[in-house]
Amino acid sequence: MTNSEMQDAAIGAVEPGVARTALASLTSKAIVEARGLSKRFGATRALVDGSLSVAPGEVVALLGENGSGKSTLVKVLSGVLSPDQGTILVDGTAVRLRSPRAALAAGIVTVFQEILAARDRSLLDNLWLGHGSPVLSRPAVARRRQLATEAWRRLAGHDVDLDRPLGELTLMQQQICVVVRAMLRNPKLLILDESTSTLDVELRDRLFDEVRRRAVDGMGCLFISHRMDEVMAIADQFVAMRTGQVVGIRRRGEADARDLIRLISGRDVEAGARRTGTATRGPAAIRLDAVTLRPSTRPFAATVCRGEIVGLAGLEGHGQDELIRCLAGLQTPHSGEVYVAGAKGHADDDPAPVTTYRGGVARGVVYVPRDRKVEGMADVLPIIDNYSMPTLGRDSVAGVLRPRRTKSRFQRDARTVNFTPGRQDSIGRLSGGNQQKVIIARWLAAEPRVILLNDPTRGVDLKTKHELYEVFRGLADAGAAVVMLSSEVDELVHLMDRVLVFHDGSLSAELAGDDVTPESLVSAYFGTPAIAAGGN
Amino acid sequence: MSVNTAVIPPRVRNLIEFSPRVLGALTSGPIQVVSVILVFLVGAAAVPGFAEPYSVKAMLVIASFLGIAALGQTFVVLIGGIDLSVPALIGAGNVIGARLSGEGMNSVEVIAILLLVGLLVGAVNGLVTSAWHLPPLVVTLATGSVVGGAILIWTNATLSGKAPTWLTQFTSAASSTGPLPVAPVVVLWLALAVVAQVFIRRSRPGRQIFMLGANRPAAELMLVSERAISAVCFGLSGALAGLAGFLLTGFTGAGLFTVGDPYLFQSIAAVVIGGTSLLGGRGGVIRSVLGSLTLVELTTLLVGQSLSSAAQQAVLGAVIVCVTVLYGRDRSVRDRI
Repeated sequence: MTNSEMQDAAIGAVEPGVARTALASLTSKAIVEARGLSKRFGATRALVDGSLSVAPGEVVALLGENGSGKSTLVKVLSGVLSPDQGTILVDGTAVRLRSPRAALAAGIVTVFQEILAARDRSLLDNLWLGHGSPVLSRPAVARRRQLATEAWRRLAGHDVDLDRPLGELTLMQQQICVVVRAMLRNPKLLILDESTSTLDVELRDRLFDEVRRRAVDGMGCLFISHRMDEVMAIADQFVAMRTGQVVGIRRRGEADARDLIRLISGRDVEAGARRTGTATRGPAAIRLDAVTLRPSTRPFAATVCRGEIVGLAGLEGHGQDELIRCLAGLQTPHSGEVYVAGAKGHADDDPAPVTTYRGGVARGVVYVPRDRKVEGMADVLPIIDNYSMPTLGRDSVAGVLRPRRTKSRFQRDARTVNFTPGRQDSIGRLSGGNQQKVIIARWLAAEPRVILLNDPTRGVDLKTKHELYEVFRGLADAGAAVVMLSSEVDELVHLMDRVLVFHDGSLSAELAGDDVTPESLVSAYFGTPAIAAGGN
Repeated sequence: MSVNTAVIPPRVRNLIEFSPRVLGALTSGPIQVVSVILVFLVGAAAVPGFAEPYSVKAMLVIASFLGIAALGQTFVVLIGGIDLSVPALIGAGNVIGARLSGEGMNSVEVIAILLLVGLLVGAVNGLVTSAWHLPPLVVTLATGSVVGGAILIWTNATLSGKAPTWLTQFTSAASSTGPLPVAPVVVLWLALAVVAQVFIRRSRPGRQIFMLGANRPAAELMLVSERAISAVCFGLSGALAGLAGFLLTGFTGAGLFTVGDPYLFQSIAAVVIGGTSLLGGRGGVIRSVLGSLTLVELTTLLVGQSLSSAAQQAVLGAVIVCVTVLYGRDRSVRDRI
């Protein structure tokens, strides 16, 4: 396919029949093949033409924005939803996957986006959750323990206490748990639906190694991620979806990241070019003095000024999460002082220590938590409640709320975050990116001076990600200090004025300007002193 | 295994898969109204005299005692809790109310005292459950037991005191309220429901109740104080239970602690039949008004069929199971396997 054809295809609607033709050549030896799957929800056609094929030893990346039909296709392939039309073939035989259990029996094992696990049970129990029937066909306890230990070590590279309750483990360990659980089933086809979003670079690479190792033995993998770097690193084939249809299939080497993005979005999205120091730095908004986050870690100091976006980075669990929570007043540092600038109307006040979350909010420090579903919002409640909750006091007259005031405030703040309120009332039905916009709008209403974002673009599609970047940039330009924890290297390079990299519970490098490159970031993650701290 | 996917026509399959959603839409709206009317029509057809004005008025009076207690229970259920101290506080309201009235105390003072006692006991429930994250099931059962024990010691488990005379008139099915042909207690109930509705829709703590019930950690980050809101909800439940107990003296004549017993099951049943989710965050007080009406109609219907109280209990239990299945199914649970 020539470049101009590709351009046409990308800008136009759908490449006619491209999916079918490309498939025809592959069908003979596919582990799993989907032909013309469709699924409707009431008036919405979530999946119009889901066709793809995964051969033994092949890693297929399924690409698309939120709402493109990826998740529906995955749910159909894993037996969660039954298709309205179309066929699924496993090893060339048409099958009907009536339940997730039937899909498992057919060798299709899916790791879903949410961590599906019993938090109060031990890690070992969780690793074998749902395996076989309660009585029969389950390996004996000792054998289970041994297999689990081996599988965990192979993936994570270290040992773990299998008897600890899952709820006590970190988010990343919980994510490893669901991946290892899938591996223990020896899948024919492994489906990873956004399963890398909580993994750090090191773990993700280990997962990729494990997938490649298994691929050599004939396992197929369907891989879903919003991160272009991951997709480019692992996939042999790219299947792009838009509005419920497969709009293009490319083999490795046929397309670069830019082409794929164009194919997914149907238009040009600015690729990850680094914006260079246009920020005008104002007075200091956050000052850290001789802070240690844990016992016997090296104390560090740092400053964040108004008008700049500062990234917090590092491998999972190296202290960046603790720091952002300290800044929000949700925990206190082991030692040292965290100062934040004064509240509205006291612009020149000296920064004062933040000790409680509420105290922080009162001083204009707002926090967008990491896990939207758990801490960020109530998905059964209307959008407007999720927006207005902390600032409701402003809408009442003599104790009685005036919904019209809330509504007009929301319209104003929604515009700022580029969110268009639709007919949808419940926040649970919005895409992840739009949910995040509502959560950010909520805190705009509190007129923040320091905005703390804990990995805010996780699970958000590319187009919306870039919209969010614009919003963050706008907030910084308007004079707020923005501190953003991010686990995505591209994002750090693209967005941040400066990046503070954490290693072993302490600040290990401070990168600024042209020093912020993927290479320098990753080497700083591992505490490699190859790059000198950029500083100011 | 090798069956073609397109065996069931898509339209039929859609219908099957969407039935929970359709039910969901119905349960959030007029189904409670429909059930009030439907059970009434069945009763009118099955039980002679069911639809007579006197009988309807009597049902409304019975529903108002239940309804006032159920309003309180609704606040607690909305934050994902449950209040099992309701029967004890109704009993306490009944006994203390009759005692104090019998000793000649002014009814306004009596009511003020009872509201305060209920509010305090409820607030303790709310603070204890939220401060130490204890299950409300256990805590409220325990405080209810403490209250009940104290009352029994005080009264030696005998009938005592005397209802104020005006209250008999206030709660009599035969009386009317000005131009309205229903007893004043019914008007009081509906007025309280309107106030409660305005409170949950149009006040800051009212909205915070929903947020707390829907997602506790998120609510905390949205500056909702779990302790304050829990204390308010359990406090209101306690106060309204105490008030219901006092109003019941108009029926019982004297103070009797066990008068509250049926309300353990019924106050929760009225809330659930009304369609407020026991998981918290979803529901409302007007629903509980309709739930109380349905439940009283149903009980009257069963009594009219001369079912024994044991059989009534069994039937009502079955109704609750059905209603919980109908309302309680969360769509997202199905999506998550």
